Amino acid sequence: MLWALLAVGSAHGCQGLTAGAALGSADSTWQEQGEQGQRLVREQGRLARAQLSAEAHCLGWAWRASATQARGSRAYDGVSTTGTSIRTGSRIVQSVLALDAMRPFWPQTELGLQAELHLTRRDIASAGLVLGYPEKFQHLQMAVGARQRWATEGGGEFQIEGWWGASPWGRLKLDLPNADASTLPLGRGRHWRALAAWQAPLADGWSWRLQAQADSISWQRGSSRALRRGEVVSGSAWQPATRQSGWDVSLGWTKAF
Amino acid sequence: MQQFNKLLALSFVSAAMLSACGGGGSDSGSAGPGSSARLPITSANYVTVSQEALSTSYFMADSGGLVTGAKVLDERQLMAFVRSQSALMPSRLHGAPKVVTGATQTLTESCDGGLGSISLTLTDLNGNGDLDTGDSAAIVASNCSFNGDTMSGSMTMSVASITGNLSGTVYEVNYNIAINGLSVISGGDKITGSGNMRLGMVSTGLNRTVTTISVDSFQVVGTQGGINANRGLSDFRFVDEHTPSGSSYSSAVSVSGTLSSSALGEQAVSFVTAKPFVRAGNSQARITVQSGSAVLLELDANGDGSFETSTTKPWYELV
Repeated sequence: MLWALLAVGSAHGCQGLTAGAALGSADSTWQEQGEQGQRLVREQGRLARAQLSAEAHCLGWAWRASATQARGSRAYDGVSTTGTSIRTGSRIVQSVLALDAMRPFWPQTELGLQAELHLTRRDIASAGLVLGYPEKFQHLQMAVGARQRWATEGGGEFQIEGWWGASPWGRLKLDLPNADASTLPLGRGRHWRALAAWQAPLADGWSWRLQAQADSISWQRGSSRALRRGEVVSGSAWQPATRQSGWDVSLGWTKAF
Repeated sequence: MQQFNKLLALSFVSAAMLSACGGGGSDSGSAGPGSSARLPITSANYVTVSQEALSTSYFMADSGGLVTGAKVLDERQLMAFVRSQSALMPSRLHGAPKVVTGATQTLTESCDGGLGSISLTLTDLNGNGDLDTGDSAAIVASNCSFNGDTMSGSMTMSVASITGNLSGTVYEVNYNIAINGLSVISGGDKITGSGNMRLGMVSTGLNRTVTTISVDSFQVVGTQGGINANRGLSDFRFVDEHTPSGSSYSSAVSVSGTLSSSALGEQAVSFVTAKPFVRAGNSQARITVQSGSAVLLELDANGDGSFETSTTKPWYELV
């Protein structure tokens, strides 16, 4: 997709086409809270992260598209539906498609918009008699942001970015072992991201880029849906108030065309 | 006391142990007692009937459950609360301030995270701080946080009889438990249970126990995901016998009772282990454990003794 965007951008007279790849490591924390604010679940773990990206200047805007995948596991500390304290683990696969556009408003300062589609598979392991199950989260994030750039010696650049936004849509596909698969809506979400990056040129249009970022998204409790086994209502389920946060460091290379 | 509490917890998990080890051989069943509104079992409903019969038995007895990812609400949370209160009764009596013999005292405890409360009225007949025949606890939950849910309503527990030493391996204890409009509320959904049951535990040695849950009548009504549902259980009896097996134990479980529910169109079926598991009128369904993870459901729609329709389900889909 990124290469297609580059080709389209090139065909429409876009300037400053670059493509990049990065590898990194992310610390990921997931917390769920009950309706009275009590903690239900806390997960924490490290995910390996890979990203492909493309950038271009078109129509007066700086466009950036990226595809990111993170994989790993988190340690799970929570409770069962019947109140037993449970420690187990969850396997995580996160995919993010992102598109942002920024344009300069002041020297070295840009403002912009960002849209992201997040797909997360979370597979919680069973613990003894307490059964685990897989979950698939899908949500959109929309944000406004700002970027500040500073030139560094040797033609390099240091930049910081900040993004603030909301999640206008999200859902959870739930596959409980004792009920038919169901889809639950996520509550309203808010998120922020802060990013700092240092980029320096190499040779022949190549550059390297070191980046660190922290982000967080919080969802309110989603509304409940009936669980069924065939035609029979066997219970109900909803996604509790949830906060996912993390930070990561990545190292990447970009090529200017 | 620790062993007693462990047994109390085990008494509710043993049905799951049966599925894990295939203990007790095949679980099958036969016709239950007559009912005024008996549901015919057909090829269209025998899976539903079997699921309802098994899952009802399990919600009374199971403490396994699911991990919390999404928050799930079903009847098991009610019984989990009852279990937790049963397990706390000896320590509550022991820890209560000493008062004159036969006095009743009222205490208030905070719930998880200090959210909501439980009001306890404890009666220690002889004032010795130990569990004795006639001792009782009346428990009123007020917006009490329990496992991320909110509990409200009341229950009473009384010791019908007790002999031996609960801290040892030889004892017998029988509780009478009355549940009065006990509700679990979560995510806008609510499940309320009312009824009477008896819990008996007999231990004659290490890993040699018999646990019995007898339910005269128990009704559960609720709204789940905006849908109203109910279940009624009567003459229910769950017996779990542990016998030593190596350093652990083997378990044999038998269950019987009569169930009606909204899933069954408010009609009733009776179920009993050993020989056809579920029967209504001439029709019958048989549930046979195939392995630790699979269960065979069979239908004899005309009651001629030949099971003409069958399907195999994972055990976890049924409970």
